[in-house]
Amino acid sequence: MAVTLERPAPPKTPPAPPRGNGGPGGRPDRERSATLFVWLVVAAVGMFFLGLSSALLSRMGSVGWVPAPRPPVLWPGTAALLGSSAALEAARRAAYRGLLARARVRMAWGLALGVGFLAAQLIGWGWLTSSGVGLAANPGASYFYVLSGAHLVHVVGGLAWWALALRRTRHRAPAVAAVDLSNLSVYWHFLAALWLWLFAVLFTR
Amino acid sequence: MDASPQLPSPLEETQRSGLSLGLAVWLFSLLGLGGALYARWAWTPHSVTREGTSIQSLFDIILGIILVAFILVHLLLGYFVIRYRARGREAALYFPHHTALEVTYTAVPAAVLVALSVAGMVLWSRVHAPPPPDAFVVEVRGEQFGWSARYPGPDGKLGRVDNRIPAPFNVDPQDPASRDDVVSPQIYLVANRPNRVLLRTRDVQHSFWVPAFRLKKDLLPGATTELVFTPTQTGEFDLACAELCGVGHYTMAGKVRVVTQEEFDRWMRQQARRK
Amino acid sequence: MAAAAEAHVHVEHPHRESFWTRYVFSQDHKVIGLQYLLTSLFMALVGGALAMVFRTQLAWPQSGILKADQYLAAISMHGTIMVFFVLTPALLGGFANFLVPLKIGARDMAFPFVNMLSYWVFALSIVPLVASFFVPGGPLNAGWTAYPPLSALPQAAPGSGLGQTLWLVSIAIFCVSSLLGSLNYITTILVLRTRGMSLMRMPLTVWGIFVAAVLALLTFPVLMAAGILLLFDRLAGTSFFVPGGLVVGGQVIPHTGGNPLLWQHLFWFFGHPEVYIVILPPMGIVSDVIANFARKPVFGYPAMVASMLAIGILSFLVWGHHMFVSGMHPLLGTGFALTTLLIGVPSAVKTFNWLATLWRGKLYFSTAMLFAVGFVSLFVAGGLTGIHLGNAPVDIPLHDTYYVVGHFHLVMGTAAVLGIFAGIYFWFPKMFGRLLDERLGRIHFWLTLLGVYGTFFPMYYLGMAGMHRRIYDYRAFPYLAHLQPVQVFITLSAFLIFAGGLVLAYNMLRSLAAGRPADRNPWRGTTLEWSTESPPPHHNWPGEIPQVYRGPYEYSVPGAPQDYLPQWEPEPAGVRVGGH
Repeated sequence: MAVTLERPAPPKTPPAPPRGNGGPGGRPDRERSATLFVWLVVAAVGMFFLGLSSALLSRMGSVGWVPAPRPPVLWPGTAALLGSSAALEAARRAAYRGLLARARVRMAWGLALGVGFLAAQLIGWGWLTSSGVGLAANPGASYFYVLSGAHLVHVVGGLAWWALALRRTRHRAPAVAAVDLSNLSVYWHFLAALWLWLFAVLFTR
Repeated sequence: MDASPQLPSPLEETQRSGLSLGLAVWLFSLLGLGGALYARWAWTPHSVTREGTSIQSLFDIILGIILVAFILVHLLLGYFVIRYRARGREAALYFPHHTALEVTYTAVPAAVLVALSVAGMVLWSRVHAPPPPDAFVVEVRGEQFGWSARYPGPDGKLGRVDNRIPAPFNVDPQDPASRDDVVSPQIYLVANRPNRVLLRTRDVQHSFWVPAFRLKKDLLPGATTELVFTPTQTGEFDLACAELCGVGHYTMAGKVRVVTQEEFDRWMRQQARRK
Repeated sequence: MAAAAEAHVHVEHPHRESFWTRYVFSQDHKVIGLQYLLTSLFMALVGGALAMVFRTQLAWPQSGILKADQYLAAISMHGTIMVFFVLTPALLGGFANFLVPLKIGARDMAFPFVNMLSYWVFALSIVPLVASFFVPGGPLNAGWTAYPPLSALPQAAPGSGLGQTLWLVSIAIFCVSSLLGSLNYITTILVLRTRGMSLMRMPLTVWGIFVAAVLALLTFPVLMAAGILLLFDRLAGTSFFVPGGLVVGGQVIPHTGGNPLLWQHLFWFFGHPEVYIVILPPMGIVSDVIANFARKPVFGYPAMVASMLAIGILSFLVWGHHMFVSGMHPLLGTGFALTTLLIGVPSAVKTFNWLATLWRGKLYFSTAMLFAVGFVSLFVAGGLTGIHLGNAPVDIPLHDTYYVVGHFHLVMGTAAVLGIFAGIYFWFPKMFGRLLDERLGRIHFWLTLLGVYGTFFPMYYLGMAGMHRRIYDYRAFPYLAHLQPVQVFITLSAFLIFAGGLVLAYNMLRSLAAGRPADRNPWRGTTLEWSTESPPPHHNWPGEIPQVYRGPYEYSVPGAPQDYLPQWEPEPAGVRVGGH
């Protein structure tokens, strides 16, 4: 995001229309706003997980810590999440080159992989619960359920946005779609990185 | 765009005199000063521990500094408010910057604050120094809503406790170290030697607060905290719970008795006999 | 995501003006700002009324006007309401919404729909809070800081039942609302400034709101994380905060291994920046008001901005000073004491800058100015004792006593309230096109100032005497029982503050209907909100958005044709403007 300290006065512009968010420049302002918005969301969500994971780290260092058993399905789930991130990146690049059709195919693949991650997490919870490890069973399990659950809520939000973006690319100019995709990818890559962090912290022994 | 005001400004009709405000500010600061000095002199408990006395001295030094700053700022504020009221056509001074002035009043408070901070750190580490091995040890337990104490007895060791054990003070009778422990609702401390007060809670947080000691410490569920200090006077002092602990928080008034070593030993012998 | 989508869809809807879209589900930042402001003022009456009741109990404990658990519920709700539902939404809601686009030259907030959403989520968060008054056991008993295990275990206090759960739900919803708002303020300020409005030409109110919004964005999520963990401890039997081996009311608690200090760390990581969230915007408001009514530039504008930034950054590093006696490792105490004292330096700079702004000014004592001067006095009276409390060893006897209560009520409670009052008197004509009555305003001011001095300064004395906080009845403590006359004095003073609030309410209602009409710039101010009509039309300026030519405080510039040079007016011939 570009935050200018001093806005250069552009050459005489015609009077701005009386409605709309009309700072100077109209649409670029909207795009900058949207991009900044996503980065700020990432900062806020990051602080949320920083709070939770610092709680986890302090708990791990104290007596009586029992790590949660790791559901095996988390490995393919994590791979699916990384795959979806890669597909989104590929889609974004295609969109920037104006290849919307190709971008749409890649987005669909990525979306499917994202849903795969969601499914893997749910299966993992099921596996854990059926092996008798509930939410309050031990500290590791409590942190696993809460952290992965909070992460999953954000993933569901991301998937909804993703589906919306996929639908919108149909009647969007490539440039607009590309900006939309790059905003989505900021958020989605962040979620992927966040999961790697949580995965590493939760299952480090 | 026509951006010029169309109506006469209410500015011209607002109150011009800052006399009442200036006097109020002055009066407030003087009353505040007087009250603070009176409260310090008449209401603040006299410290009866060595550590508390040091804390109280640092408190007094800072109190002096902040009262001077408080009075100075309020004198200036009141004076400016009275002196620079709008008068006739006289204009305000256009005075947006003065680097030397700004640097001065950044540097001076910074120097004072850092100095006070260093003094505080020295005292803080003294208050938290590890207890000497020969310190008098007592364990104080808080619960909703009262206090009790345990003394290690001749072996000098406190036995294991577990809140779930239905024995007095939840002492584990299996632990040999707990056999000679003395449990009592009375909290005794011994004057003129280091005292190590171990603090334990049975339920929620409490805080061990003896105003005359000028010391307090929270009782942390799941852990044992401690206060180490040297009482310098014998007597009976009020104890309060300073951390909100439930409906009966205000009823957690207790007494701490600081006695001489002989008195304490005599009391311990009585307790042992009764046991 | 909705916002990102919204920002892309080119909204060019026709301007519908039904009652619902105009006044209730409005996306106009000015309407939303007023919704926030009026809701907070209403909540201030509720929080204030609670204070009147528990102050009555404290002054005359033998009266038993409250039962002990009701007393704890009253103080806990008073703190919660004042921090979360009055100060925060009035400033980062009311004033932020109303003023930011007007002051930076934008037609609206960056995301008007999100903006509307943030207000209604805020309104929603009040529902569980109010509902908690009517559930068995009543509202929370654990204080606004809700320390577990007291707040985690239903057995520990009557209010630790459903009332505590509702409190947590309410706060979690509030966190969401606050995030939506902060995202909007930050984006709007960084992206939508008009031509010529560089960051260093922004009025200090906007700076204060900006830094506060950044703090809110980064700390409310942590509070939310803590709240969610506590909810799990309460409802799902997890042990994030509750340690093992506790016995409450004869019942063995099944939890194991949690850490109650963790809650304190998380809570105060939010809680300390929160006090700056509610004091930075008033600092800005007071700077604007003092400059305007002293007809003088704010002295040391760059230092004012720098000190706000310094306060903002340092505020993340001081939370442990709430925990000096908590059993936290003593080494941490040393670090937190140092950062805490350092944060006093920018605060001192601000105070001296306000004094220097008054010096040789041309002072007009409108009600707004009276409140602004009162703010400076309270900020000093409250801030200086922070030097005691921030000094780790000196805090030991003062922690959790009325010394702390007096300190924070003066420095961030009532100082922020006085800043809000100054802002209301100053911008009311911009909000409604009518001036508030100045005579009633002065009555309001004097009741408030004398009431605040009389209420909170003696609390320092009680703190020195050793009076600890949150006690329903102090008569069991001989060193406190004899101070009952002081309690009576405090309570009578507090009544004055509340009476002042009623005068303000009456003044607002009366002036809305029959106040003196105001033109676009009644106070002859320099910042952009004064360049448009009062009240401003939808989208703020009927024509083009004005361009900005200079800094925000060009008052009494030598050689200028009048004693103020508005930001939007091109350079008059023959005048050299210094500064920015």
